[in-house]
Amino acid sequence: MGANAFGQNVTRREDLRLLTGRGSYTADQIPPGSAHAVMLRSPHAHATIISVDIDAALAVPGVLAVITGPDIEAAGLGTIAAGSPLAKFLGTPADQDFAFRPPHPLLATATVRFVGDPVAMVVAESEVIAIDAAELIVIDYDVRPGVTSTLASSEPGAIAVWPEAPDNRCFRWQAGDETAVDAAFTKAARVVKLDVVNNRIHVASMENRGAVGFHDAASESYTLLTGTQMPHGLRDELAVDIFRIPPERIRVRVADVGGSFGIKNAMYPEQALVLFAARKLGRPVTWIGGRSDSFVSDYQARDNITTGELALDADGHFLGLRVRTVASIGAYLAPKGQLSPTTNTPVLAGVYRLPCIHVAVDGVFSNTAPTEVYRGAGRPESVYLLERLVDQAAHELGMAPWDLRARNLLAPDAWPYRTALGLIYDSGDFPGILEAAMKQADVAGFEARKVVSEAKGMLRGIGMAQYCERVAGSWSEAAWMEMKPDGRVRVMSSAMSNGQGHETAFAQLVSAQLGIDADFIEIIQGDTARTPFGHGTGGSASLGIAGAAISAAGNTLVQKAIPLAADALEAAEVDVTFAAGRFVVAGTDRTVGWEAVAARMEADGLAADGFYKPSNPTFPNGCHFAEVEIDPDTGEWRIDRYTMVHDFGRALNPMLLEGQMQGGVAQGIGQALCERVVHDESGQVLSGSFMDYQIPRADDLPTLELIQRPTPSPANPLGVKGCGEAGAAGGSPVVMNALFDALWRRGVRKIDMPATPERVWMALLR
Amino acid sequence: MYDFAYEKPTAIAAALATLKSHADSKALAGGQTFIPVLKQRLNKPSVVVDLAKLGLAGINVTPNAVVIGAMTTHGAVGGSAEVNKAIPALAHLASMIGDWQVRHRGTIGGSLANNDPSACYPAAVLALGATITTDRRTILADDYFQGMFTTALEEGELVTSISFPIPERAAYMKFRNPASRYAMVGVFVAKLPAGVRVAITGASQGGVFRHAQMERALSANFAASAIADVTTPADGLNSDIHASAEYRAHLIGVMAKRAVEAA
Ligand SMILES: Cc1cc2nc3c(=O)[nH]c(=O)nc-3n(C[C@H](O)[C@H](O)[C@H](O)COP(=O)(O)OP(=O)(O)OC[C@H]3O[C@@H](n4cnc5c(N)ncnc54)[C@H](O)[C@@H]3O)c2cc1C
Repeated sequence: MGANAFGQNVTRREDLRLLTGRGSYTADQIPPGSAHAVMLRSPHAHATIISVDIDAALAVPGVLAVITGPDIEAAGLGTIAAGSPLAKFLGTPADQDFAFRPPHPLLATATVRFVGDPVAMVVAESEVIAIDAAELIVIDYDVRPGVTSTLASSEPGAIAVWPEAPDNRCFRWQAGDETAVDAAFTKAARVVKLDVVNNRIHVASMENRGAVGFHDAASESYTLLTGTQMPHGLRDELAVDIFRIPPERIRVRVADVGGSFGIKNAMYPEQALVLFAARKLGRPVTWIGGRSDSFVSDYQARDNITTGELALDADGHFLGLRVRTVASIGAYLAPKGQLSPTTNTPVLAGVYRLPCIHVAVDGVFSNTAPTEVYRGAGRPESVYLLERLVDQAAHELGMAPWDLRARNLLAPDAWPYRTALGLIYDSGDFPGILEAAMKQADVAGFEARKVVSEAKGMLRGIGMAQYCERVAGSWSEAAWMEMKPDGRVRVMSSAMSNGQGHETAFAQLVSAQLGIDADFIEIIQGDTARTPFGHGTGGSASLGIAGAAISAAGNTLVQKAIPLAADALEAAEVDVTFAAGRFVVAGTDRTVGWEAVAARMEADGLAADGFYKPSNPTFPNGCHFAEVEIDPDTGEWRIDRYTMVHDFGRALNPMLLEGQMQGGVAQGIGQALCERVVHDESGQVLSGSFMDYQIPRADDLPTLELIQRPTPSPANPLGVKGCGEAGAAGGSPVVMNALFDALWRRGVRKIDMPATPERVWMALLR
Repeated sequence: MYDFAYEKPTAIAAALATLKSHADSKALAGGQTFIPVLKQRLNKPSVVVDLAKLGLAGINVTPNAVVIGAMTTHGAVGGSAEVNKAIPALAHLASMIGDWQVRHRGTIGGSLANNDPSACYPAAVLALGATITTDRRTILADDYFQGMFTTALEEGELVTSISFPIPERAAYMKFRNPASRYAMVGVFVAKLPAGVRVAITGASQGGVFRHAQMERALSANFAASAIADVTTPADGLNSDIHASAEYRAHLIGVMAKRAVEAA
């Protein structure tokens, strides 16, 4: 029991299977008799479809169907949801709404709007036959000029991606108190301004996307096997938006998922098309995307151009923050396409006493893949802007970045504190974290390390980022638990692992709560037929919300077991309590364990369900320090030291937590160091394979040192705060601040992500 | 991949006969370049002739030369104690190609037949003045490389081995393309009895080339300071999303100096 206690480093039960090639992903579960589909995609960024000739493809032996846009329209299928309602915060005008929400068809009919836009699906007896046939489809395109750059697409007179959207505007959104901010800037002793580019990311999950569709004609119901974070949301979207049937007639099943980070969150055309094709053909239809599909058709992420302005008084106290962002939406508004640049902007308040904030965002279309949520979903973008702006201010004021921050940090005596964008901070010790982080980073020793670097001809810089996220507050979750007479416990959760280790974490949670050996606990996830409703995995919330629901189910199970335990103890139910895995007659040393309960169960055992709806989000926060060394001859740089102190509330499994931090930081560093989607003038993707799209490799990364300094979250019964995305939020600004620190001393005043060696070299040339 | 016939002959004569008698037939060595091309359907061979069983792998070091069979993998060259002793720069170059998987499949013959403008071996072959032996003749390095992806090889001609003269001093400095880890700029310098040769790969639109100005300066004085003022014009150099021609021109100078220091 102790081995699974809250706070133990339980090793991952998934790992034997996942690390020895025995995981079972979507592509491992292709049913016998399945037909195979491939997608034909637009090779142009912007073109009118004049004609589509599928005759030669249909004539290929073994081809079963060629599905095009008009087939989908004729069948009466709907379109993919274009975003969801815009967030409303303090200061958001009541009538603020989208300027245009374009239809997002499963297959393009009249116009293609990005390289990779799907035009047809070919279904055949084998994938090879389908590829052969797809090559024979003749599409006559009238190629039109397009626009891919975020800045260019937002400028007046830009090429229109949608004629219905003047200036390519999808939405203009704002929050905060503009008048107060204007006043703060008027009285400010100093205003610091920073323009940043938040580069477009290809997420590059290890497992490509895939989908297997089944249709049962007798019951007129569908089953979709696919990788997703949110099986229920996908089921509902397929039912409501596409097939227009009750959700009960669609079942979504999820196999092992090889990474998502947000991109397998929202619906894709292929997931609906395999179901449609399965119905049409009366047999299962499989589509397994290749890496080349992934590079052009996965939802992409980030891609903002932001100007931040910070008003300060003469003593360096923050007076107000003004933020203007142009956010690329891509060619269509993806189902959560507006979320990152709007819903998560309250994180702009950071760890500071910041009396007023105003943020205004223009979401703009361009001839690029739609953008979606990606690890942190707008929080890393906000943290990046704020933390770079604060460092910029420190440099301009000639202050140490930690001194400027210390002067503005909120302290625990402020809780509850209402931020300028309406969050209510309830816990945390920001000054304590900063102090611990400075000690861990040995800030005092930096000057000496700089001298050593300089003796080798290298430049050295130090940077920090301190931030506060807002997670795990926006939805509710349920859990179902059963105990059978053999003592085995089965837990069903609607959260869905994409590699994080839910099976391990949930089993540990239940084991710690009930005192049952984890080997007797089975975790079921990823099947809408077994969990009737739920939200799914996202926003660092699986433990804080789904875990809290499981914990509630566990409490109910105990309550249901008490009559049986009382019987075994020959005591009155009211006298029986549960502690440390045993049922106790209060005030005595008489106890029984679960085996006594199990022995008295009916054959179908006990069942309990649990539900949890948070009243406030959680506020994971931390402080990262990094030092970098730059080779001024080549512009190459490497991260020499990386330390972090974090408050994630109570940690169920510190080892899983550390793994989440490592992955998140690696992705944050990747964005700073090397990752970027690049298009040419005509809209072709120049970064269309790993030969040109660089994700960080193990040897690009430093040793990551993590210290935990928790304060429990009052927002959920487990006291946890959520650690899944924090690394991505801290990783980018901290290394860019360290890089900028070194460059600043050489007179450089601007550097953007990704800071490729060439960019650093060019910056140093001036 | 399109359908093709596959043969794995055990004699060179048989391999040559197949390559000659079938139009659009292609040799297969380690497949590290060729198989991705096939997978993307960028090539439609009639017959693929696997060279694995022709006995073309092996390393032979003589007092004056290192002779490497065409089918010798990068891993074998990089890990060879004899090569490390005779021409450490060559072993070092091989050990820096791609990753473990690539090095355990990819071959020197495949690399030279392909003559990718970002490949590493061409720099060693040209700087050391190596000789390429084929099924029918020997070709001097100076005659072999004829522009990117172009060589002196005739249709159906197979590289069988490469003979590298042992230099007095040599070094290879590679600035890796950060994504692919091919050479964005690679400089091989070699001090041979007849003088210094400097070959640059990764940088030029025309593929590997010799840097005459650096060779003259280094032949007079083999020291990094001798080329401190040598600049390389950006004209004709590659420009892509990773590096402009100007940046590549600059890196040639930096890498060359570092190579001289390391040699
Ligand atoms: C991820 C990755 C990273 C890489 N990084 C580098 C790098 O850093 N530096 C570098 O130099 N290379 C790099 N390479 C390329 C690698 O070195 C390849 O092995 C090489 O280019 C081709 O060798 P191969 O044996 O695989 O040839 P194959 O792919 O089998 O053949 C390539 C071509 O050569 C022809 N051919 C093969 N052998 C002969 C022969 N004996 N005679 C005549 N023609 C022949 C084939 O017909 C084909 O046209 C990398 C490759 C990959 C996939």
